[in-house]
Amino acid sequence: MVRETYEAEMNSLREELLRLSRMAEDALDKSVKILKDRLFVEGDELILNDEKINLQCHDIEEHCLNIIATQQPVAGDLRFLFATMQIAMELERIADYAKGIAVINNKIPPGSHIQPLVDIPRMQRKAKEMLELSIDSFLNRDIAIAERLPAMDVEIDMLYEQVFRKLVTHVMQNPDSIADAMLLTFAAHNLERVGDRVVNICERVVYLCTGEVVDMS
Amino acid sequence: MTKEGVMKTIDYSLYYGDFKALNGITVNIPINRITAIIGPSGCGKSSLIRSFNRMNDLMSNSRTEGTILVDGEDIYSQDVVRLRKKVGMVFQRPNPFPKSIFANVAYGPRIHGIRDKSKLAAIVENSIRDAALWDEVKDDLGKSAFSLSGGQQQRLCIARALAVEPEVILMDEPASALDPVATLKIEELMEKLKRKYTIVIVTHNMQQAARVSDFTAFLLTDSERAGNLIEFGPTIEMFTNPVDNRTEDYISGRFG
Repeated sequence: MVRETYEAEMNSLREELLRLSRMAEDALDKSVKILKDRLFVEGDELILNDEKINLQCHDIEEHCLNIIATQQPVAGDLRFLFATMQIAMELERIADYAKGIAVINNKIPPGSHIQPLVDIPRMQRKAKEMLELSIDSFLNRDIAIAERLPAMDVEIDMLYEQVFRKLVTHVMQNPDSIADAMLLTFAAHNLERVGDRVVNICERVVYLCTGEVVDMS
Repeated sequence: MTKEGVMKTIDYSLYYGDFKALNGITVNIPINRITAIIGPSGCGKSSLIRSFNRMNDLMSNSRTEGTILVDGEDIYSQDVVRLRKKVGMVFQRPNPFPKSIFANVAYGPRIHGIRDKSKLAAIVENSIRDAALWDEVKDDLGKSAFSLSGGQQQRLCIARALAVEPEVILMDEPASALDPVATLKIEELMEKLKRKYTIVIVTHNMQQAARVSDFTAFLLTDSERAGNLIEFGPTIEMFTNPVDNRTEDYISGRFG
């Protein structure tokens, strides 16, 4: 028995979620490049573009609600819709962290370089990989991938500790740079939070596949 | 054909003797969309859908006020046979004629003067295909329509309605006598049919209205027991954020 209209709605929702995750990933990529290369015009563009990501998230929420209100989804489909709404929110927050990094870049005066950024781009690459895998695992209902990802978050946490330690050491030697160092710590903290958000997505994958609510953090 | 809708009522009231069954209904049925009419028993859903092709004329004591336009023309200034060719109807219980599958579908076109055999055969095939029944009956067109299952008979009745090339198909509880699988087939069929036709469906089943329709009209009786249109709008809006509290009470089961 095939409900073609309903299936088409669910498939289009999958595509919308995938689009939102690409938008969030893209924002994350750009934000770290902006901070690394001190790009102010691109930074302002990224800040403005965040509104589009918010709208995409709202569209997904609305689409989920409409399907729930009109199609009477049950069991796995209902869990999928519930999880999709929550994941859309996580992605929207991830994009907010990217926007936050662009805002931080604007606060650090041009030409003020504490040191070349190495660990922050590394955190971003790790976070991006985690994010891609988490969305794949959700859309393919692949719980094995989701269960593997919290270990990657630990790596991001360790990188954050490393950034923090290096900046503390730097500030001790160069007290004048305390403001910039704190701002860079915030940027790294944003990326650390992205990892946490991806772990939340993984929890939703487990919920989707098993119906169990788990704490993977 | 009017741009805004193939069919509309303007301040339309219907009486059965002294009893007012419908009170001042104004509604515009959007073209190539499925419009569901919902409401509790006795609210006038069937009276309204039966008004569109003048089925209520069969009740000797019925009279109307206001206007119903089909293709911009008052239905009472049109020939009723021509009107019913444009506005076809499918009923709650499948009601095939005691004839073969082929003859059931060919019946309407024959009445409208088509005699050419190959032309009739083409109409029958296309109509049965459009009703998503062809693969199930193509080798048995000469068999009695009663040899089909209930769900198949209902799709045959839809094919019969399609055979005279209507613009609008009225469906009065078309799936209420069917099991869930046959119901689903009818619902999927409606979704396909709306590309070519304007569909109006009366249903007791709110979930069905939510699933299949693009627009919903909610009727409710007033203190005089006359049916009033409480709300009309896109189904998604109606089921997520209705304007009227009475609509919300009804669709969330808090009615009565």
